[in-house]
Amino acid sequence: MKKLTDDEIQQLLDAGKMPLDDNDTEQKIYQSLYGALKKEPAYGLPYGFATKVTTRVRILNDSKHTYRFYLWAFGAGLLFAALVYLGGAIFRQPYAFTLFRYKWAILFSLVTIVGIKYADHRMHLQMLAKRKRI
Amino acid sequence: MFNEEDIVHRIIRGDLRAFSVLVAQYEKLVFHVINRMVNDEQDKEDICQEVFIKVHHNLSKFRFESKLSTWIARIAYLTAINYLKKYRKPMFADQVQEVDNYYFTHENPQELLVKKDMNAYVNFLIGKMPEQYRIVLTLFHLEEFSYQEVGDITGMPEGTVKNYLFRARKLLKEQLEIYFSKEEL
Repeated sequence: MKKLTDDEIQQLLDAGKMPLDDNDTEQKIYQSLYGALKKEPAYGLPYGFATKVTTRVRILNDSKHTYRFYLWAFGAGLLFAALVYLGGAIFRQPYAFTLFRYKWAILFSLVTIVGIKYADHRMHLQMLAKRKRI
Repeated sequence: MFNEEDIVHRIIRGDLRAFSVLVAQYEKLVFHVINRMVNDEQDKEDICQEVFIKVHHNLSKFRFESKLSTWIARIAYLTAINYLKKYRKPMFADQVQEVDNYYFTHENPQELLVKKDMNAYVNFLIGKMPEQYRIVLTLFHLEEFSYQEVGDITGMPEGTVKNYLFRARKLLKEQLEIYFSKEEL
């Protein structure tokens, strides 16, 4: 019988056909090799991996939402102060002038609050990134 | 039964339980890809986590033009490649030869130790091969992707996939010939 080449043996095995000659050592070796290639590694990811990843995604989502919330809060705070001032100015209310006098203090307070929240958010992400090395 | 489309839509709507099901379904696939490409045991789990975070983040871009498994395997492959580029940690020091001219070098004590078990020896030999050989062997044999799917995942032309598979298996067979001839002695 004509001896099969490496290419022919591989093609037969890829097609799921057993090589014809049982006495051919090369064919036997290829069969053992194909068997070994299909074997899954003896170890894998730890039990509960899916829960671990889902928890991490939840934390990331929550922190993203928190960050967005504080940005909106900052915008809403500014808008509220502007409306109060405008309302007071139109109706000539004295508080409007007080508000205008302390405009920088109000702005500073808003920036500080949002800044602290932002820093907290960044620190939270950095803590998460400690486990992430990519 | 695992319904790809339903699960994807549920995850996009924010259902984290559906995401957990997806992770459980594909964690083996991702691990097999990462395991073949990365050596560091601790890094393997972190990279697998990273892959699934990317999957979650980009799932709304998945258009069902391929199988979900192919898409996830591609993310895993690219994440592993990025990791290797960033923290180049070759599995073995002798991995500097060109892919097409790759051949196995002489035995070392570690090799002699693993040789006691044929499956472990095959895995050891695969680990010594260039990344391209390792990934095509894993995707084709372990995950049973077609040549075209392996090409889609790795970005290699189908002809290259076939060529790498043939060469990798031939190299392994040659090593096993020596292994079996010594076993018989």
